[in-house]
Amino acid sequence: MKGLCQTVGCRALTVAGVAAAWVMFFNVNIALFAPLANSPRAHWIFLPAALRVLSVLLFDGWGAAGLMVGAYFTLSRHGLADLPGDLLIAASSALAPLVGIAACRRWLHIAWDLSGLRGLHIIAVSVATAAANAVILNLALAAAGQFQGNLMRIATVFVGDVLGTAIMLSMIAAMLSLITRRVAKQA
Amino acid sequence: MSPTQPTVTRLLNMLRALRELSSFSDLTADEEQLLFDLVLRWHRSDAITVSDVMLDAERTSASTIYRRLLGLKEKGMIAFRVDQRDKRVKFVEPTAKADDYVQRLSRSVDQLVEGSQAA
Repeated sequence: MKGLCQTVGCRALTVAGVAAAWVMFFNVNIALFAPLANSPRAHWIFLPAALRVLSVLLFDGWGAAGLMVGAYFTLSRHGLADLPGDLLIAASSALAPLVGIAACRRWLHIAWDLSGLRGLHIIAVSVATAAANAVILNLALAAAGQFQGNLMRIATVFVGDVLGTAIMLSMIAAMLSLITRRVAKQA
Repeated sequence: MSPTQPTVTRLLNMLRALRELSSFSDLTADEEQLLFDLVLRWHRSDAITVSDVMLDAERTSASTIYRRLLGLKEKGMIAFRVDQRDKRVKFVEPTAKADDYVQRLSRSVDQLVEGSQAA
C-alpha cells in the first residue's frame, strides 16, 4: 500500500511538475517573443516545444499527461461551454510527442531506457514531434470548429516548434558542457 | 515503468545525448564513453594494452578507437607506457586527472540517484 501511494504520488508529482514547467516556459516565451506570435496558438519561436520532447522521452504517458494539463491552463478561454474543444486542443499538445517519439522509436530503434541515444536522435525526434504537432493541433482546431484554413499558421506551428526546441536544447547542451568542462578543469 | 531508477537511467542517457549537441565540450561523448570503458577494464586488470582496447571494440573500427585514445591522451586523461620487454606493446594507463574526473562524475551521479530516490 505504501509502495502504491509512493508510485501514485511520484506520478502525480511528475504530471504536476511537467504542467508547471509548461506554464512557466509558455509565459517566458510570451515575455520574450510576443512580437513573433502569428496567433495565440501559433508562434514563430515556441520554447515549450522542447518540453514536449524531453518530458515524453523521460516519463512517457505521464509526461504527456502533464503536457495536457499545462496546455489546458495556458489556453486563453476556460468557459464551461468551450470545455470539450479546449480539452481537445490541450490533448493535441500531449498526443503530438507521443506520436513523434513512437515513430522515431520504431524507425531509429531508440531503446526504452534511451541507451545509445545520440544527439542526432534527439534532433530527429524534435522535428518529428513538431511535424506531428502542426498536423494534430490543426486537426484538433478543426474538430473544435476553430480552424480557419490558414496554411501559414500550420507552417508557423512547425517552424516555431523546431526553432523553440533548437534554442532550448542548445542552451541545455551548452550548460551541460560548461559544467563538465569545469569539472574537467578542476580535476 | 517504475518512477525512480529507470527514469534516472533515461535522464543520464538523455543528458549524454544532449551534450553531443554542444560544440563546447572538452571530452566528446565518444571519448567519455571510452574513458568509462577503460575505467571498467582497469578495475579488472592493470595491464591493458592499446591493442586490447582496439580489438575489443564491437561496433567501432580499430582506427576510430585509436583516434579516440589519442584524443584522451592529448587531453591528459590517459598515458601510454611502452613495455620494457617488448617495445611493440603499449599499455594504456589512467592519469591522476582521469581518476579525479571519473570520481567527480560518479559523485554527481550518486547525488542525482540519491536525490531522485529521496523525492
